[in-house]
Amino acid sequence: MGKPIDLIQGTLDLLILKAVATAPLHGWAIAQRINQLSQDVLRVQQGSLYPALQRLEREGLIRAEWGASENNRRARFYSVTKAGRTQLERERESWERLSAAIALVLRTA
Amino acid sequence: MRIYARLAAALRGWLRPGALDSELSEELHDHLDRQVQANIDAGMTRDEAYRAAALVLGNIESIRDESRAARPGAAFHQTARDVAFGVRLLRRSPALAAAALIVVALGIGAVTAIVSVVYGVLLRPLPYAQPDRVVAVWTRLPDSLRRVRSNPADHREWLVTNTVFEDIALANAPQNFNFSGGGEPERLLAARLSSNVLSVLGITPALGRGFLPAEERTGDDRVVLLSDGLWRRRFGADPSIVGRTIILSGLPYAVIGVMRPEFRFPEREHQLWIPLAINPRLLTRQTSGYDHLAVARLKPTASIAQAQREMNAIAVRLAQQYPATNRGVRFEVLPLNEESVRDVRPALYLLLAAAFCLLLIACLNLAGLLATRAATRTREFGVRQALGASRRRLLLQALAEVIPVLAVGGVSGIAIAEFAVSAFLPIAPPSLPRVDSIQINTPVLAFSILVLVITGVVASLVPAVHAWRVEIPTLTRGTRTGTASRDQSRMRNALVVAQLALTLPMLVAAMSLSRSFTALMTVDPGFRTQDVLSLQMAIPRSKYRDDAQIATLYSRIIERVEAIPGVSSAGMVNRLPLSGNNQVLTFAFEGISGPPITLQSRSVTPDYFETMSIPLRDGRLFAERDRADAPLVGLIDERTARMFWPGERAVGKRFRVALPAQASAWGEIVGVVGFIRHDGLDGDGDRQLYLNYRQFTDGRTALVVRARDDPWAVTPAVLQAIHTIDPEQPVYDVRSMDDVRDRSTAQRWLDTAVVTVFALGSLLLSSVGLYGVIAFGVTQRTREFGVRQTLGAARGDISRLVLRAGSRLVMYGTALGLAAALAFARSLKTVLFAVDALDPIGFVAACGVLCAVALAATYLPARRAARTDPANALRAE
Repeated sequence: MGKPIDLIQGTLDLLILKAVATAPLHGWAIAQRINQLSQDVLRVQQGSLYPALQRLEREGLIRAEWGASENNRRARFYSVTKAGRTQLERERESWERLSAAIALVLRTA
Repeated sequence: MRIYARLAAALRGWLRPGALDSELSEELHDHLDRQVQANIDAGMTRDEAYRAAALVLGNIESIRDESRAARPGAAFHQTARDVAFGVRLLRRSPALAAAALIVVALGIGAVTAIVSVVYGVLLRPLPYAQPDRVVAVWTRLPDSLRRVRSNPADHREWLVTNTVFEDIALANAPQNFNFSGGGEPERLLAARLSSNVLSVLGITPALGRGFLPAEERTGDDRVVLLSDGLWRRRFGADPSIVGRTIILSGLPYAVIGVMRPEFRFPEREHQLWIPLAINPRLLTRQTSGYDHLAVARLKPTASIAQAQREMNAIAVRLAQQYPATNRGVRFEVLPLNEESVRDVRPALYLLLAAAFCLLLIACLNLAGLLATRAATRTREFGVRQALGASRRRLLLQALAEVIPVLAVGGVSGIAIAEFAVSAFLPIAPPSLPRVDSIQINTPVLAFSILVLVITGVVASLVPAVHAWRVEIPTLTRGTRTGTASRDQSRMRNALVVAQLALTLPMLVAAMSLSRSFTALMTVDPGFRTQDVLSLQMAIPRSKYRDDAQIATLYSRIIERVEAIPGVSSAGMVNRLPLSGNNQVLTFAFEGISGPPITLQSRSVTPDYFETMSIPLRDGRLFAERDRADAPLVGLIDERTARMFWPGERAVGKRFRVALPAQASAWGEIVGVVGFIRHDGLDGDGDRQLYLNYRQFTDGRTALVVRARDDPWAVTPAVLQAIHTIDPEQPVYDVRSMDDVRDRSTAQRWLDTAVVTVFALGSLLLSSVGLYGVIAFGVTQRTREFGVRQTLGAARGDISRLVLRAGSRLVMYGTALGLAAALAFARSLKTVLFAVDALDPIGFVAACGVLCAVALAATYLPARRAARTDPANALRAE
């Protein structure tokens, strides 16, 4: 396995939405989840995670609630809203088209 | 749903920003803990784990900043925090806070006050419909330098032939009416209006109706419109006044309407309007009447330039058609207000320039103050930058920190302006038009606030940008030294030099204006104003039906007034000198060919010359034997005599009144009197011819009374004397001649006073600014001075060091200021009297004052520097 890759500009939002789509997660867990889902290929800059969370919350794509995590620690859990789900679907489609197109270019060129 | 979520988030952000902050903190710490735990689980020691976790998460301060910025309402809360911080900073240094507030208040106060005057007089639209479409048509006679009003005969021609105006109306003012209404008799100024004036101006009466064309005939013209002020003052704002009859100068007039308060036409003094019935002799050009103000409304498609071209063509045609009266006569189309504001415009622009100069100095001064504060905070800014605060963030903070200064200073400045304007309005010079439209209104306030914001941005950004040219390594070395502080002090010096440079032209202007005003005060008007009382009367023709009755009334009044103990003599003149009222007549002289000559002409009683102390140079004065039926006699002034008959006696020469043609008989010049200044002390002086009151009688007159002692002591007796002769006769404008003379110079006095006050304010600001910079430099160099003294420098050496630094700034400032003053001098020329704009005395004196005050400002800190105790200075570090 090679060196982890930094995220492409603008894809963090998409990954966050995907990470919280299945179950509510707190901030640290979101970072871990992205690492895990990408089998440690993608590395989230933890510093940019929280501003992104605030932004998504402001845009109404995710919502946050305080809850108890494992071993009863207080943590802020983020979950995806209905609007967030629609947005995720839309972004996923456009990402797939984009990556397919890039792959096509790279293959044929 | 999404909208709901967004609103909820926004609401939380607005209402509880603090809660959000602490939530975020908690979250970040939670994150850090988990990462540490994960690292420990992976086999690190606790310290390693913590270091690694902190490294991965990054700078908590900047995450917080970015997260806040991503929240709704973030900018607002950030600004509020910065403003609160600004208030705390101000509280910590009250001296600096006070200085900054005074500087802002002075600058904004000066600009707001002057802008309100300039806007009210020059820019505020007239209260008419589409005011830019309303123009005045003036006439220029071939031999006259001045524009005159228009002639009804010409007006008739314009109406028929022009294609550029929707309509042209005429107004004839002033007309005097005596009104008692059962109370105190009062003289009211009226204007006669053609029936289309209101439609040309695009206005309607508040009550009742305007004039009808049928009312423009003598006999049918006994209808009157009242001003709002008169209606409220004399008729208790009673709406049923419309339709009632009032007595004006003994004749009944039906009130047909009341005008709105903003209708002040042609001038604000007019309180009554009656229909204009035009004398048929005027229309047939048997006599001339260039005293009708012509106002016109341009067609929507026509421009002033087009209108002017058409009026030029009409003038050429009329000159061919009526060569006797219209040869060389031209018509000029101008914006309605142009003629009245033309004379005050240069002075107002000068005041405006002075106010902005003062504001600019205030702005630089504020920048200097903020720069001094920024210099003491270099370390703070450096640390914040090192901790990850962005440069943009720091700039915004610097801006927000001056908001309290701007708000308090701005409000105080506007309050000062409000006070200054309300104090100024009652004493506004009589020559200033549209005084009633001067007020601090929305456009003025909007402009002031804009200026305030620009001032704040400039004053806070200049030092802020410099303060952060900090290289982080210098921070570890302590508070002083480094390129940064040298750069900063250079910037502070530049600010002071700029202030000094701007102050010099202000001082030059103040000097030149003061010298000009002093010169004006020493001008000899040709008569003595001391101990003379003046008052005006308008004699109603309805009561005193012919010239003989009026002349008899005059001689009875004079006889009675001269009998008062304490009165040495009394006389009358139909236009008081220096009062702004003129009468120009055209004369022909026997033996002098060419066109008729325009002269200032006055109708006077015999004792007028003695009362005013106008000397007789040759021949005799008027006497009681010069009756209406006696041969026509006249007096001319000595300059006219020399000009027409150099080296010859003027006495015995013959003259004739050419226009208007009331008196066409030849008259004889029986005497030559001293030249006096009728029009103003600063005028070149028009030539004068006097006629006797019995041979040329005017219903308007001014009574002048020379008192043996104090003119005010005899005033009640004089008024009583007039009242005894005719209890219904009002008098107005009761003033001492000294007062009349002062009023004639009031505009120049005002210009001089305001520019001088602004110049002194600038001098104060810039020298305090200089003092601040030098004193700050001394504080910063305390250690250096201590070392120098320890190494053997004498006290004198130290203070010389400081003085040299100060005088370098003064030198640069003066040099730059001289260049600016020279460039600016030309624009001063139009407002100066008898003083050259490049007058070396003014320049030298201004430089002297600036240098003296500025050096005094550096001397104080220099003395303190010399007193530095080396032991203390070295210990202080």
